[in-house]
Amino acid sequence: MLKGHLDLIVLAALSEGPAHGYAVIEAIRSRSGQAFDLPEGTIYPALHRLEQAGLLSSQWTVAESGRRRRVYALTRQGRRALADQRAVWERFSSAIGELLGQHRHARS
Amino acid sequence: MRDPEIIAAYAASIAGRLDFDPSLSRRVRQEVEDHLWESMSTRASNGLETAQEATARFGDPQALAAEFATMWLAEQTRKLSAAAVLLVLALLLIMKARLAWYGIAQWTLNAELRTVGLTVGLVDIYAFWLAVTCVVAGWAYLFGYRIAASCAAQCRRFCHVVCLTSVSVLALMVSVTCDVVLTALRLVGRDFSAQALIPLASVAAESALIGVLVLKICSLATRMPRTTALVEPDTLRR
Repeated sequence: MLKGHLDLIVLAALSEGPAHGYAVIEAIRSRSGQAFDLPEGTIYPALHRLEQAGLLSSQWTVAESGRRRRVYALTRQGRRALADQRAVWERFSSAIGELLGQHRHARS
Repeated sequence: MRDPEIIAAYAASIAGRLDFDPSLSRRVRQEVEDHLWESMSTRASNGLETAQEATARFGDPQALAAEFATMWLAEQTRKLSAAAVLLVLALLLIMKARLAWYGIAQWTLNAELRTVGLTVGLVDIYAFWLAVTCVVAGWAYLFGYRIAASCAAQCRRFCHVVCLTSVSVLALMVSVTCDVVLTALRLVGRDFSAQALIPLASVAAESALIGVLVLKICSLATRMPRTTALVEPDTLRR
């Protein structure tokens, strides 16, 4: 289930600013309250795919350690996609909430 | 094995599987190494076990390489299909321009060559429309598709597009050969002048454009076995 929403999760993790792959994984972990603990490598194909789709841009930078590092950022198209997917998710989540709430009321 | 060697070997094991695209392979290797070193630096200890844990958390190199290969195939499929559409449009433009130039320069076929010219012209037209049909079919096949869920499915899609593009390229080769014959028929009996360079240059441009696409298909075909190697044989047959 988590994999089906990976694009939304990655876009959301990058909504606060550009980040490299490891920072994206850390942001996902911390912002989900450690609930989403993905195999770390899975993030990179997702980042590459979103970049191919024009939702992310990336560039090489040099980290403090001196290592080359690829930093990803949301593009304008990526921000729009995130807003759209967030709206869809909120509608879906609210509908499921209503459904489960009604079910609970019916039982009680 | 020391921890830097473990990290380098792990990154190389993913990058090595992606050697069908050297720039992708280099990029993935650098990103994986940076990630693993960053992961190591946040741990209390930096020993051998920490390096092994970091690589284990990263995931299975084969599965990760297969995901990258799937995306690579999707991108190449789109690029090949777009290149075929552009080629057909460019050839159509060149052919129409050459015909317009024949009209302006009043370069008509000799009466005794007209029957041959008509036959070759018909073959030219049918071959060109066969190419257009294949290119449109390839484009329609891809239209609306997202990246396939598995590398095997993407491989199949890629093969279908390569087949359609190859048929369209063969048809375009026939069409351009007919153009060469028609140009030669128009040049028969005329003194060579600078004017003759215009149709000759146009057929040369057509041949060069087709050559570029043929090279692209050959290059993809040679790299294809490396990408299919990332897929389990039984998955590919399904």
